[in-house]
Amino acid sequence: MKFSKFKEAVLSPFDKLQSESGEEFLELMVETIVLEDDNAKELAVLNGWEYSLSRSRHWDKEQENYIMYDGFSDNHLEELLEDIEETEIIPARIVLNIEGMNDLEEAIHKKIIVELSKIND
Amino acid sequence: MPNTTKHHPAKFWDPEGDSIQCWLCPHRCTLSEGQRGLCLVRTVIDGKLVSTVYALPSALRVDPIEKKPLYHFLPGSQSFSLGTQGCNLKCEFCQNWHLSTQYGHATVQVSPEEIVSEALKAECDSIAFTYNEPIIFAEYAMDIRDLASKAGIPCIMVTNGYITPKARKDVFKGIKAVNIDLKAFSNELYMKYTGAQLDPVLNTIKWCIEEGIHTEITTLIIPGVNDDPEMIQKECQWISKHCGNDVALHISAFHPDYKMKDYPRTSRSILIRCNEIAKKCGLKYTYVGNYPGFDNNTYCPQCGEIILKRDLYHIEGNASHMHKSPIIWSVS
Repeated sequence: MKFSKFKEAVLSPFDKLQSESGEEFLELMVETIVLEDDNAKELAVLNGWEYSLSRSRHWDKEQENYIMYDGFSDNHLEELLEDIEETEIIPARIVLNIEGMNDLEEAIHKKIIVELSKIND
Repeated sequence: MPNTTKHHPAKFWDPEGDSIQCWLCPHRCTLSEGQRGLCLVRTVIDGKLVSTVYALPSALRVDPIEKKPLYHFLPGSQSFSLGTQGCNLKCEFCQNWHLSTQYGHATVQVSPEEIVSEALKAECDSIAFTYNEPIIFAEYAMDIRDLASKAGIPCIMVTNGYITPKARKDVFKGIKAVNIDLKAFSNELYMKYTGAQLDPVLNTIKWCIEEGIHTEITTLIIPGVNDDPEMIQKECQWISKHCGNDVALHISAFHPDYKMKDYPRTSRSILIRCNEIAKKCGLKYTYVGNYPGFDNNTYCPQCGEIILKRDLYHIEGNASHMHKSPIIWSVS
């Protein structure tokens, strides 16, 4: 699987999710990565924080507002791709379960599905 | 030869009229025939208290010791880790609830002898009682510990510390290292979210320090529940006063689970804030867990040199560092 395509397939829905959360998100963390086969059968579950797949925003009353941590680096995504490709059965899709927090300290729960078979095409 | 049937005679109880009283933990459950304790795994059969999880582990794994977490004890080593089912606390935020809320589902028997021999075979440097609460499988843990001690393998416990002083002497005897969960620094929060009390936990932490057991502490930070800066400060001041500033404090990020799935995951800002408070209180070794991107190296407080470099579970140590260090590199 070509890394650039994999990266785009993960990042674009994540970036979209971030913009949907607007300026309000404080934390978006890929909690688990579920590897599934064609029949949506679970093949393996990877721990998202072990790949540092998290994005955090700083915000305070003085209106300081900036991304203070972005774990979606090439290195981290490459590690994830390597582990996916090392599984016995190459998964058809990965499901990214995302947990987070907005600036009211309310929960954000989202799911991103990346169809790997389409990337391979 | 220890009994490895599904009902193993339990210790730490007295008859009380037609019932019995278990005094393993401060709940001190009074139980009639057939009743289970709050822990779910200690019950009365034929007028006697029995353990229903003896030699019935539900999880067996070789883990890096850093995963317990223990950062200052045998760094970089592998620990043969086991847990059973049940728990004497009822934490609504339990991160291992698949084990702690279950009982009676484990079927594969693994004797204490087999645990020790498997640990040796796997070339592990320690045996860890972990995953669910080890206090409630005390009889199994104690038999393993005695055999492991003869084989020269240290045993460690990852525990909530909720035990009576009388039982603690026996259960913690010979344990070389503990990581104790300090879930909140408020009795009210303990009662509300765990069904237990704070004081017995603090007493266990103090006792372990006094007994010279290597002790590390973990606090899971749950947004809006136990992350109040004033409470965190009180906790760190208590640790500093009663345990000293060399004790390792693990500030751990909560992920929504069990009965608290609607709560948010702990944000980076909250973890930074807690870590800063701990440092201001004088604690020299604080680490942030379950969260990427924090500097979790161990630095020498005297010269600032790195004593232990950590990259997730990859460790590079500097055992020859010249200044006093809190790290236990080997156990005799």
